[in-house]
Amino acid sequence: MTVDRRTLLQALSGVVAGALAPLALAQTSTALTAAQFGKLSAALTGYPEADADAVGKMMRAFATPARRASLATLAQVVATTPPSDLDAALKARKLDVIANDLVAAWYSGVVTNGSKSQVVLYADALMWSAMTYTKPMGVCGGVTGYWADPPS
Amino acid sequence: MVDADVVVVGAGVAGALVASRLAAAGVKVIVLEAGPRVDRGHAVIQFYDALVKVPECAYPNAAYAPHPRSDDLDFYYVQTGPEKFASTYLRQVGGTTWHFLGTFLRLVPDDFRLASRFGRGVDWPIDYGALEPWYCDAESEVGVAGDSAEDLGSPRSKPFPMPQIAMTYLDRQVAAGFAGTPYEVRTTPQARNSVVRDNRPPCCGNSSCIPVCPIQAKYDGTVHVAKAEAAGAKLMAQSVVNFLEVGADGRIVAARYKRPDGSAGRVTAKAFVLAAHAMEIPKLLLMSKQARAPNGVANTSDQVGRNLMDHPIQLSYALTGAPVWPYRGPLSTSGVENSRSGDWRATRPSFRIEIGNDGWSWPTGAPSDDAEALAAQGLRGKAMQQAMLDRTSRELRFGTLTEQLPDPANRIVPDDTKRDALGLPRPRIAYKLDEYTLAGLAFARRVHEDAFVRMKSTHIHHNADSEFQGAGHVLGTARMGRDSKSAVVDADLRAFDHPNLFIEGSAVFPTGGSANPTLTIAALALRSVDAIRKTLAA
Repeated sequence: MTVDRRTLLQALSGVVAGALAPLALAQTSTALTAAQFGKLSAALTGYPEADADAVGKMMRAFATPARRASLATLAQVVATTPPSDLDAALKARKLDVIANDLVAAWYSGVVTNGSKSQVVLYADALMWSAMTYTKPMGVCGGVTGYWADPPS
Repeated sequence: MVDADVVVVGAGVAGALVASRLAAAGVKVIVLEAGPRVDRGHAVIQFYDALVKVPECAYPNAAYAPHPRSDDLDFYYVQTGPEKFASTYLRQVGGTTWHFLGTFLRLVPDDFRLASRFGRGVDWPIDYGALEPWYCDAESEVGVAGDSAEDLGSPRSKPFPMPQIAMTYLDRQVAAGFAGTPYEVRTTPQARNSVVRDNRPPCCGNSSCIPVCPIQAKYDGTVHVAKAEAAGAKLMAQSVVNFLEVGADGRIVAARYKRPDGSAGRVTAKAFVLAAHAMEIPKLLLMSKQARAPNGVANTSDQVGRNLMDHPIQLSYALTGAPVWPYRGPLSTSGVENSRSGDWRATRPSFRIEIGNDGWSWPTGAPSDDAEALAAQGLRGKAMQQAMLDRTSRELRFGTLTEQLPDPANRIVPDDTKRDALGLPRPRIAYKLDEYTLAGLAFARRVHEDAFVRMKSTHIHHNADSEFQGAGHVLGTARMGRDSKSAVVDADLRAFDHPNLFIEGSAVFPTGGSANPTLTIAALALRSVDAIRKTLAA
């Protein structure tokens, strides 16, 4: 089934994020607030800030001690860099991988720390928001037979 | 004095149907179920929270009654190869129908005469005509939605009890893709309400039939467990039957069971019905070796545990040229059925193509894995949103079920050296695919490729032979036949060796065709009730 691909992907992202941590710690030790984490997440995902409950869940799972300093630097860079320059700025600061991981976490709802992954959000995962033509699996979609026509 | 007229072992669809019919007729029934009762709400939450959303992910895996796992085929199963058996089942009240797809197809007439018609496998001891009235009975009892104008190669004497479930938009695009080929896309008969029926709502397209229907629009065995209990049957959950006692006259006199705390119990009855699916039934029979059954209960034929079959699946997936809008509606609503028989069955197997409405969720873990993969490419903001929309809306998956021939070397036996938490042997499995099935997988790849190309698809992927998937269909391990030399039970599902022992479920299938088996399981179960009642009268 899907385990091999998933495990490989998660393992890779964990390794890279772990390797970044010492560098990030050297850059700043400022802790991120929930409000800042919410704003950072919104800027990277392209969606409005999630509600406080979802932000809290995601932050508790994603902002591990190993990531906190990098996240603070990431938030600072994202807040102060024009969108057109952001990719280059993140790469230059070696913050692109943690940014990608945060986007992956919000869209998939899954947070990976090292070799361990957990579902933090399901119905609130942003993949469902991006799939504008449907709703989360396991949630009622409408009247019987709604699926016969293409989405409006 | 016995504890019950009939003891039923297993509270899945077969056991529940038999128990409900017998109880409604005034028969005193005890149902022993190894696993627990399951709360539907808890199952839905557990599905949401599961990291790997395999069919079993929504359910508890009790140490006292463990079930195999699709994401770890060495969990509980002791696999000796050369292939790993890839289908699983649940041990809980309601059984494996909790996570079945809901596809409710009949076999076709040729499926009952594979040896005489094609020189392959064996014939069934009954023909299609003998089972047809019971197919009607089962369709009515369970509730099936289908197109009565389409018999799909299985002639019918009564219409479906419910109007068909509408094809998805995706189905119709696939049908257009198959246009001009020999293969016709037709709506699938489903044990899923299209209208309010039997106090259950119609399907609202939760798109999570596997592993759980949140509203029970899809039928599962708990429907008839409830009917059985309402009619007076006594259900004993968390009671793991581990031994059948054979009396001096060859009749089964008692079933011994264990509780989660390790304590033991024993029930006596006039007749016993084993309905614990095709792994646990042969394991129980072989665990019950005793002086009066030195080769195991019901096993003078030496066929108990042998002829293990599945419907090995060729999984293929692609991105279609235009959106097909998956992830809407039941997980499968259409398929190709006119591929299930023909003269070519002498050289390659029957097959049916299941068309998935669930994007790439089966092969890749989409859409969660899509999100991770696209984010890893550095996509953010609107670009990420658009990429998710574009990709997921074009995901198409085919799963072709192929027929596997009975092979006595494909076998499940109790492993006395590997035991579960109650100290009971785990199932040890020897399993391989033969050239016949491999020819079917290869043929399916060509049919899939042709349809994908016609739909202007990209990113076409076909699983290799070594990546065949289990259909979740465990078949053949206590097969029915005409005599005790070659089979375990007769056409009434009565054990040749024990006049008051009946075996239900897909274990009794001599061959499997390529249709999802649950309707045939249900029809055979209802057909067997008359013989069980006559046994009581005698």
